[in-house]
Amino acid sequence: MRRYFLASLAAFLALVYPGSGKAQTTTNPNISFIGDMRIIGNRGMPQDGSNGKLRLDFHELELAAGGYLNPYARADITLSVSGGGIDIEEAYATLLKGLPWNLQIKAGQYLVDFGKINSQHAHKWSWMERPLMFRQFFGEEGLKTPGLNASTLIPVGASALTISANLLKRPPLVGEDQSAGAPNLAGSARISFFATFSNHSSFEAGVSGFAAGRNPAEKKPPVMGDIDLKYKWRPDAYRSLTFVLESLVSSREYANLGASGTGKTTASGTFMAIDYQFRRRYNAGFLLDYSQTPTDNKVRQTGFGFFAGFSVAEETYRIQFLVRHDQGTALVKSFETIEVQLLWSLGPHKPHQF
Amino acid sequence: MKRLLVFVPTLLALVAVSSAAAVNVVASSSDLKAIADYIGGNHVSVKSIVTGKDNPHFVEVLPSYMVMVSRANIYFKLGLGLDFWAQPIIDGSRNNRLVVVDCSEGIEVLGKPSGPVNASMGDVHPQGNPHYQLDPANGLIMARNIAKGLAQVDPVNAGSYEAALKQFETELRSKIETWKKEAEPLKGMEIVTYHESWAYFCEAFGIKVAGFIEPKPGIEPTAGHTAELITLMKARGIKVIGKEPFYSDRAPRSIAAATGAKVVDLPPSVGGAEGADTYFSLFDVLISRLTSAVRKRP
Repeated sequence: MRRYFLASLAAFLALVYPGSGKAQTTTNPNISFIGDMRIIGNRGMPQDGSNGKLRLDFHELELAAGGYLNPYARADITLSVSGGGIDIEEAYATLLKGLPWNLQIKAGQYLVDFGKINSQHAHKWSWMERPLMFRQFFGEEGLKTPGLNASTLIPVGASALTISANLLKRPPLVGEDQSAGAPNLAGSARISFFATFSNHSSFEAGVSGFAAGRNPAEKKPPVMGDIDLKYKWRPDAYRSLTFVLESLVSSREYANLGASGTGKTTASGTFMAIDYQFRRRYNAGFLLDYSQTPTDNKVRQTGFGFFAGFSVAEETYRIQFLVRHDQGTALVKSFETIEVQLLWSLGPHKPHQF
Repeated sequence: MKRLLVFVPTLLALVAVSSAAAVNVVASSSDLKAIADYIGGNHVSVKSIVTGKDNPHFVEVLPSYMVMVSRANIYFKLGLGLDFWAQPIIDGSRNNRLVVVDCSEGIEVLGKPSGPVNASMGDVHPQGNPHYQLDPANGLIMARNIAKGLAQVDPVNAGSYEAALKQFETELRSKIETWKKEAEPLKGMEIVTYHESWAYFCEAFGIKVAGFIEPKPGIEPTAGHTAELITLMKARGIKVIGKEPFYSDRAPRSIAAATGAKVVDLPPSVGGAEGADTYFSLFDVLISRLTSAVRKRP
């Protein structure tokens, strides 16, 4: 399997870098910075000592560069700089055209299109935080890993059916024994359908699947499924309504008995948000967030919250506000969070809204 | 049943032949669509991404647009950075045979910044003011670019496009003369507009733009700037505020109330108002709305 992966990668590179041997005479990618600074306050969170205290957090500086490699391919790089150091959020090249069956091929490290929300950068979200289910099942960064993606766009009348498949380096899954020597590969696929109801409203529905190589501690390879729905109504530049619903289900089966006593754990999560832009620069909405723990579905986290945003000047300067309640579990007490986020952008890449 | 068996394939074949005969065109704006419709006639099927009622500065890149472009033979871009969103749509369409024509080629661009441009100036277009379609003389250049592009993708009908171009030029030249006469009362008039979209139109018809409701391009009106604008309008006796239908009328109305000016909805593109269904009727509507505002003013 690994050989196939390397062979596919070599074929892709041959296409992205045509064999003329000519060097690029100029390099002029678009370079942008997006800053994300936050003021965070918690109540009822004694475990990390931040209870009742406001803290100033330089959450992230995103450095994005992108441009065309040649008439057929482009490359995009996003680095994330935070207190934890520099992280490659995404770095990939995309072969845009010239392939049969309307294919596009992407190779590198990227946020995988498992569901709708996972592949989006956090600055697009009015709700500010990655939904619980992605953090619970894939970790704080969501499903992000090196891989090779092939996608095709199939016209269905005026609507679009997009089929996307990923061959991935197996990401570490939350709760599994990393020392057990997990295999290297995983795969995912998504089928999504996009349709417009009128000039002002659109709808997208997607179904995704993910499977990873079996860890020696597991009886069966871990598998996950996801369904996502998005509806957007935007009659003019001053008003819009966005509805997002996404649900994930995971199945893991261990050779040794798991917490459920059967060795098999089926866990799920759901996220829902409604975001209403009522003036050109103002929006407000609410979210519902729920997730079980992938290795023990009796441990459940539930949260809900309200958010609001104010775009001071187009998409270059934006202030967002979130107040959120997270229901306690057997391990963690209930707590409230208040966050104020200041997003700014320098350069052509903007924090466009979801 | 036998008849049906013959009829259905025949109908499908006819549909296939008729759709194969048409050149599929996608244009960024409704103005380019209108001109492409005129030049292409029966040989083309034209769709546009932005309608006349939409703000062309803000277009969400949607898969349905990619589908539209995936079927196209040719794409007409506005250029000058206004339809920057067209490139991701074109890339997403994966259309390898698509010919892309920048219709701003040959336009004498107004408002080209002389020095470096940065975001402190607002949403300034570094290549110059991109609202060139509002000078009817530029319609001739757009039409030439469109005819040239259509001839490139459909050389069989090149003669037909050339003939239509000549007819368009003749009709437009005659209309320009008429519009200039009709717009005589507007000559030398000062106007305030919402956005810097009207530079070409005002240049063409001798109108002076004294100020903008936006303090800087793309920036929402502020209280301080609005107060300055009211003072300026009162001092100079400016009685007309021009605004595109897709902008909010809150600030224009409050300025109008303070100055006694009249707010006039000015469609910047074909389809932006009732009656503005073609490139020609767009100017009919614009001149008629402005001249009647001037006539009615106290």
